[in-house]
Amino acid sequence: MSAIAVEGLTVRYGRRLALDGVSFSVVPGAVYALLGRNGAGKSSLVRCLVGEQRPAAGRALLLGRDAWRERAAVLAEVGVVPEEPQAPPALTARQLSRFCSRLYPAWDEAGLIARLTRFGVPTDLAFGRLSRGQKTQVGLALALAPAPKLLLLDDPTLGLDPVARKAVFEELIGELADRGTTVFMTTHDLAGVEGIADRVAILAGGRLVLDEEVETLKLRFRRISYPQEAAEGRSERLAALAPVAAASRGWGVEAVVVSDFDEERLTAAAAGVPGGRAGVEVSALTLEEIFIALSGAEGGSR
Amino acid sequence: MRGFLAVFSRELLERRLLLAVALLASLIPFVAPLVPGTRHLGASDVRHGVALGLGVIAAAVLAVVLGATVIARDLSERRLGFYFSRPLPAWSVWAGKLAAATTLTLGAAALILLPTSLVDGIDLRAWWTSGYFGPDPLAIPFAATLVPLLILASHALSVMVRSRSPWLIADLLAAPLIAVVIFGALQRLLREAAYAAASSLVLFVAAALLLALLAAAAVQVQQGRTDPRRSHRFLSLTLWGSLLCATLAAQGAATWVLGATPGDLKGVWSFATSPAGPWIEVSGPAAHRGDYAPTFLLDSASDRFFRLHTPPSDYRLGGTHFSADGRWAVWLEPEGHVSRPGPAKLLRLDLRTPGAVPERTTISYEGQPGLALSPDGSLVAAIVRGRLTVDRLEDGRTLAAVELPRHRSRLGRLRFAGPGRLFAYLVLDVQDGKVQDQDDRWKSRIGINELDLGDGKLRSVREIEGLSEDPIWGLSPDGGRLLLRQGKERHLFDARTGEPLAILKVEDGDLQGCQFLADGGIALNVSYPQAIELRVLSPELTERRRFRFGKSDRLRLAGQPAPGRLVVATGFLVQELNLDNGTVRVLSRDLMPLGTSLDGPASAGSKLFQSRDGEVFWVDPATGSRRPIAHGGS
Repeated sequence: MSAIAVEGLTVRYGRRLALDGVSFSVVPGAVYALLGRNGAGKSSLVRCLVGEQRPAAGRALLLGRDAWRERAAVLAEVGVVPEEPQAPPALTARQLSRFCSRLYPAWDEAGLIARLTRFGVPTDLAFGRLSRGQKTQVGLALALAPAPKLLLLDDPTLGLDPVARKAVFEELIGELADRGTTVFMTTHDLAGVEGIADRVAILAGGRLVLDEEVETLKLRFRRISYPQEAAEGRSERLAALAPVAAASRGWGVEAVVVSDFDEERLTAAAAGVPGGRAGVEVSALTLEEIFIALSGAEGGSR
Repeated sequence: MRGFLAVFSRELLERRLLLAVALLASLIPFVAPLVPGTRHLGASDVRHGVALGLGVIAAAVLAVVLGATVIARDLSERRLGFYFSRPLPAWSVWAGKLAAATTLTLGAAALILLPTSLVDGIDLRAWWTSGYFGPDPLAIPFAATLVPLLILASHALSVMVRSRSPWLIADLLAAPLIAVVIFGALQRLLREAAYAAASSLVLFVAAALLLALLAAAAVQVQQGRTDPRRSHRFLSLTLWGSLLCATLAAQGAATWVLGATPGDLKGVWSFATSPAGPWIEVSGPAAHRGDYAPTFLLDSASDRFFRLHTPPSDYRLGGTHFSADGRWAVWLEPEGHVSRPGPAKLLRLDLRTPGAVPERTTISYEGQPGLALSPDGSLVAAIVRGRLTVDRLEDGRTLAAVELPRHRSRLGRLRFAGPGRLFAYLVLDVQDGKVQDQDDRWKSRIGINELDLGDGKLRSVREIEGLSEDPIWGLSPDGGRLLLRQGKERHLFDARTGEPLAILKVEDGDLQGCQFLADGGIALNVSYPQAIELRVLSPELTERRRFRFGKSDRLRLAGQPAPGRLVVATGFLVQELNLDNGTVRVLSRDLMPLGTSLDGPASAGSKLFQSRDGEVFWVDPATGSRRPIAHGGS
């Protein structure tokens, strides 16, 4: 059984289509990162996953249960960190912990306090008086306290300083190492997620344009660059190697990004032009560069 | 339930300061008597008044504020997601928050009132028995019900305003529309004096409003969850949908109540019969409709009927008047707002033309007019507030309008006499310009006045004086003779000139009653120690026949269904007397006549009877066959 199964999920706001038949699944124990530009539909997807938003079509299953119909039962086993830190502003972290402890079958209050202490978050200060980073850390601590099978994080590092961001990811890595919790997160922090995500998906214009293992994705994408003076006829020949996802120009260098890199085909394509393979450089891309290539001005076709 | 209790207790915890403030406010009543200018009121009264005032104000303010914030503010400030990212059923979020708001509001009010009631040993219920809040046992529950109503209304309003969604336009359209429709239904019921149904309607609407607000808030949280616009949409759809259903139900109920037919009458309170023809006016309580008592103009021959908007309880209207030829009926219907009754409008109906419907004339009257219709139904005369007017029904033109002599007339009767003449019979309370005192009133006079429609002049014909009692008097069907009670005697006068014609008296018995018959004859009801005797006189006052009945019977004359026949009733025993040969025939042992002795053979009144359970029948005296007119029955 998948930890998350999304099937043909469609969300509309009036005439606007926020999600258009999105389908994917997350296997138990995986760390799944959903990337997308602002307005791509990530938050709508998360709202559907936690049962806050009713889809116009399709369904979202968490741990095999419909998130809209059985939200309360599902969320007993799921920790949620929303994009905006939400909690009654007058309550302290301890009071919030006490309130939440009545709702879950298991609750690790000592672990929660220890975690907040590690974060350096005061536990007796009203939630409304905490900084944004501290609020997110309280949200993460509350989400982890019931030892959830599944953790949903909606851009948890948005607006955090580098130290707070690092603390969040370290906590997640620790959680994963200790318990093997399934993690689904949406994020803009590609550098942070690159080290922990098993699988990545990209949402653009309400459609899922990529859903792949991070390792195979990084093997598949390459930047091919060559000197500009040797560009005569070379661009056309190199472009025939694979669909060009993105291209850049500058510093006397022409570059293309190919999505299905193959060394032999590159050699064969370069043989027919003046200069041949000489001067052509092939380099790997970071997740951020792949994301930009796919979600850039061209709109990101695979 | 665990989720509900968690949310409920969390809300109380977050707002516990309110209860502390209420406790502090509860001390204010004890300081209030020290305020200069309150000493003359009495310390206890001041404490009670201030405590009650503070309690009511606190309850109202808290209900509005908490109602507007507990869910709506969390929703608009995107904090409701905190609950929806926990394993909480939506209903527990909704119920927990609203229950906490209600508890805080009532708790704060109770805390404010408690010290005063403990110190003075007063009964809180005593403060709520002014009648505005209903009977004592229901007063506090009634007042307490207002708190959740206010909280829910404030919540709904807050969600609508905070969401900034286009549904606000629908709200702004639906609210006045529903209010207008319900107010209209209430107006219709009040206008027809269906007060019990109107009270039920108000209670129903209040309950429907409470339930609709409750359901709307629940559906909003259940379906809208953390999306303010979607929440607003579901709130509005549920609220206005429910209220629309309730409004339609209220309208339907009002229409059903006011749609009673003669068959729904469960008794007859009053009736009037046309002197000729099958039409009658009948009013009485309608089955299953509370105190609604419709009035019908009913064709007893065909069951065709019209519902008149003349509540019997409206003393100003005075029932239906029929023309002597039986063609026209006129009546008054109230106009204006229920709370500010305007003049009564005169309506008329052509009873002989098939398909005719009631027609509003241009004539209307203020106050309580005494009306008379000319024999052909073309003119109507009225005495209103000391003024006699004669109007033409066709076009509403006033043919005559004269101030009556300055006197106080307690009773007035008008009678047209041929073309262009009208007689006004007035009971006078003033003699020689001086109002009679209470003792003198028992010596009333009847003034006979004649109005000439040609010159519009009112002429005093004669005053009949020396009446030793409050006069009981009657006019013969043709308007030619006047019968007045004078002690044990009855004095007969010429109604046009006031000349005395005869004195009717019984030497060997007690003359109990005296009535004109349709042909101008007179029936005398004479009481003897062991019997009651009916003596029938011809129009020429010669004795025509005597009939004797048992002493225990109360004799009632009930119309003349055929020439030479007189129907009398003693209780539910109805007998037909043959005036020609003196025979008596039992018509029924379970009916009571509705008609009067003046109802002649041409009138349906002489054939109308009522059963013990209120059913009204048309009975053919010749065959005894019955046809139900008003089913009654309950």
